[in-house]
Amino acid sequence: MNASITALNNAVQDTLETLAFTEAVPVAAARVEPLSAPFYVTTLEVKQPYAGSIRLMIGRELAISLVSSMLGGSDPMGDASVQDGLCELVNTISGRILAHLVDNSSSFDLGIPQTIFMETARPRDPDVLVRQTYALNEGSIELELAFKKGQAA
Amino acid sequence: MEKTILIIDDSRTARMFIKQCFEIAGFAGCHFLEASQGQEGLDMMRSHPKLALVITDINMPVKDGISMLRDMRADKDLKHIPVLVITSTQNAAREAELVPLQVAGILAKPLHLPQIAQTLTNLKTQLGM
Amino acid sequence: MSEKPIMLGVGNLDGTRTPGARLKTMALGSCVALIMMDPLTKAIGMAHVALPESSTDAVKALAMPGYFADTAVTALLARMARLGCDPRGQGFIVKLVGGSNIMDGEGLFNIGKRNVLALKKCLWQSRLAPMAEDVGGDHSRTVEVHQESGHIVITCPRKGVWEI
Repeated sequence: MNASITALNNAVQDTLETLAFTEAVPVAAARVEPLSAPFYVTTLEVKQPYAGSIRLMIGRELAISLVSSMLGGSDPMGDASVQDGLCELVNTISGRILAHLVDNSSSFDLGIPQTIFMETARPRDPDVLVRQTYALNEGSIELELAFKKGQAA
Repeated sequence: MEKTILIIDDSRTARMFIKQCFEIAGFAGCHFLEASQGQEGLDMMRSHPKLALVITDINMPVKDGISMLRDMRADKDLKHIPVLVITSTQNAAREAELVPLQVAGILAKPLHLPQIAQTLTNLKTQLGM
Repeated sequence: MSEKPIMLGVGNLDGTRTPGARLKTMALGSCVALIMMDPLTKAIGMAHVALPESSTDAVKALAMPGYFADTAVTALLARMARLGCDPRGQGFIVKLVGGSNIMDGEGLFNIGKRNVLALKKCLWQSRLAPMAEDVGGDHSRTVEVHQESGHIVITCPRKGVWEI
């Protein structure tokens, strides 16, 4: 479990600092405003070596701000651009997490990330192994690692 | 002469990020083409026979980077093109898988320019820039 | 080598293409030295950046744009342009030094890291990025940029002298 959290924190912090130029500090969920709808949910399926998923939840305004930073703040931000930017963030974070968790001699296989926009709160996933909140300059995000029972890293 | 570089990644954000990193690292005089998956990449390689470099992701829909590389290396017109892999799924096992496909280099996402500056400098030399 | 370097205090910025000139700034803690070098004109420039955002003090930002990350990048590009460089900084080599780890009042965010990230964000908006950096840690740095060689020499009382 500790290895999962460390890998998650390193992956989130390094990716957000490098791609979106923002600090991400892991905090207890109670320390920040709870994430409220509407928000984006970006999910990437983990196929090998264990089945599961990695999921990012982020408020709409913060998502626009982060992706705008990634793109250099030039173009007007359409919804497709925001979703594409979030997918790239989750793709990169997930690769970093799996590279930490999986033995170096084993390969890992990830699906293609998908982003959906949610107007209302969603039900909690029962398979969640780790849920971590991160404080950013302008708000907070949540990351979840969910693996099928018996396959926890 | 202006070099042409093809960037293959299913994320438009990633393609933009890679292109800007390369321009900053001394490839600003190059002409950049973009494709969103391996099959589209192969089609563009065939319609642009003087490509100096292909930069590709691995994990893509329709045709992934590994499958595209295998097709390239089996094609007499494409097998000589240097390929740089930029992927989020990098580890020793992935590198071993790419060795027989003769890639010019493997870089992990997220690209961090200070860490990859030397690799890009070497690549410029290799491309005669 | 000229006798004395051009000294930059907190929030100052300057540039030069005088042969043999040096730019120097001292005791960078959480502050960051933003360094630009133009291989074409051999001009060098540096800003001693103290804080990430000018919104905290708009009057100071006008008087001393080098003080804030979000005004320093544009102001240093303008200074370099007055030396005959490309006004967008195309072809420039950018480097960052400093940004030691000093936590904010709540112990949550790291001020040095925040300065570095704010500079990188502003550079990226200008289609620039550092090709080398010596940032973080818990030590103070003095940095000197040499016009002729392009060398960037960093000194630290406890750690010695090195270059990036």
